Amino acid sequence: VTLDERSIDALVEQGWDLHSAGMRATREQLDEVVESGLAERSRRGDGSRRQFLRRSLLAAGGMAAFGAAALERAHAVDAASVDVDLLQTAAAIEVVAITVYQQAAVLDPNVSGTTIKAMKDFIAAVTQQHTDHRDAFNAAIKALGGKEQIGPDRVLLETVVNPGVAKIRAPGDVIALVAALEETAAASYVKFGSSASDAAAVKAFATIAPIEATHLAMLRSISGFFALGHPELITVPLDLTKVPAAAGGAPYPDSFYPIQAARDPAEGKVVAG
Amino acid sequence: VTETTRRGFLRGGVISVGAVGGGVLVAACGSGDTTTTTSTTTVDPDLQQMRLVASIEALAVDTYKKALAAAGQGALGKPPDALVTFAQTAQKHHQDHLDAWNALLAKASQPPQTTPNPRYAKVVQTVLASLHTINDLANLVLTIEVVSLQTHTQTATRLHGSDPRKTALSIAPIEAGHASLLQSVLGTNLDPKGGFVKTDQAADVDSLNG
Repeated sequence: VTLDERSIDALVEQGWDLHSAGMRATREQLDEVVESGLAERSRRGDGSRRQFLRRSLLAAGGMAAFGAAALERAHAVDAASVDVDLLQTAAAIEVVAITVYQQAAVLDPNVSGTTIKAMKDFIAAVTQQHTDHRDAFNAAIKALGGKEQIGPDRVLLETVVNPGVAKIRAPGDVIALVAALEETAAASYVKFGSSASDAAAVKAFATIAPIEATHLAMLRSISGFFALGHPELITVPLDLTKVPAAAGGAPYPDSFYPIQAARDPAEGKVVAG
Repeated sequence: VTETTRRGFLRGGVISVGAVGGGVLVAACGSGDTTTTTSTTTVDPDLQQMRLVASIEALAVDTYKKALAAAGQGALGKPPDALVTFAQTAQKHHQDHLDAWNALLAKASQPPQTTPNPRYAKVVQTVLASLHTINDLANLVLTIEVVSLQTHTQTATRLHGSDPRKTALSIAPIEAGHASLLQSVLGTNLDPKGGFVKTDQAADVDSLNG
């Protein structure tokens, strides 16, 4: 199984075109994420704090106030710029995830694990969700006046995807690769959401990170059944009377989501030119 | 955990356990009641929000404790070992979450939140007394997990401080994992259109008043 850079580019482009039609159906949901984020920004008083600061500075009078107001504007611009970088990196991670899931879906079913219906359904559902995530991040970028990110995170491709793809021989290898991507996505969004300034950006990270964690939880469960040699137990609903007690351990060993797998915040930003 | 999935669960809950499932819990604890008291209207909104999520964590700890006790008595049938393992692990996670929120409250010179959210606790008590099967129990804790997930997600968007927001953001995915396992046990498929956590079932600060 190979997935070189040219094929990634072609797939990304194809996926983007194909998704245009599908996007119309989910536009309302994506708009809601962004709009509710903007409403939260208003509720949180981001704008009013800036206005208050500006009024206070003007009341102080003179050039000092002018300089301070200019400084405050510069800080706001810097914060928005950092948020755009975070969102573009997030969109780039989503592009990678979409592409890898699309590739997994067309592998030999004995390799991808899609001989199991639950696995096949999972890949289809998750591909759609990642596509919606990419579009939500891009909508938030546009709201901040930034440029949409439609390309992949190339560092993630080179350091995680390509080595993972080279190892694919069986369903467990596919699951390990997409689980690594889900872990990275959730960790990145927890980290990015903690440092973002814009309320709409925070809202996007906060509402998407747990979904990636859900994907990871499901993949870890599925992986466990393949590892046990009993993929037939992957059913909906799960029959817990047939699974070992250990399978009921919570999907993560930690009480708090670890962020070690997070990407560099500027890794996927759109480079001018 | 999405709106569609959530609705599916609520429908399933109501159908499978009659009037004792999660639907009743959420309906009874919804934000329709706008009663407020001085105790929650004069406090800093960030501290109020932190106390709210702490009260939901205390509720989760208490509910899992009671659920394990009920399952141990065998009145609902023998619980699968995997479900018992899950409940024990989830209870520990929620205790850690409660401790984290109380540490943040202490940092702000606030007393800890040691009791479950009073509005939800009343309904949980009623529901617990009316359960018939292990699946009913799973429905109940799933409801608590979804409320906690949504409340943490909403909290992340409302807090101004970096540390509290990071805490909310790092807890929400854990609750999502709990909910995911329970949903797979109860037979809920992943919804392709459910790519975002909703907050319509998040707890409201008014619920701190009972």
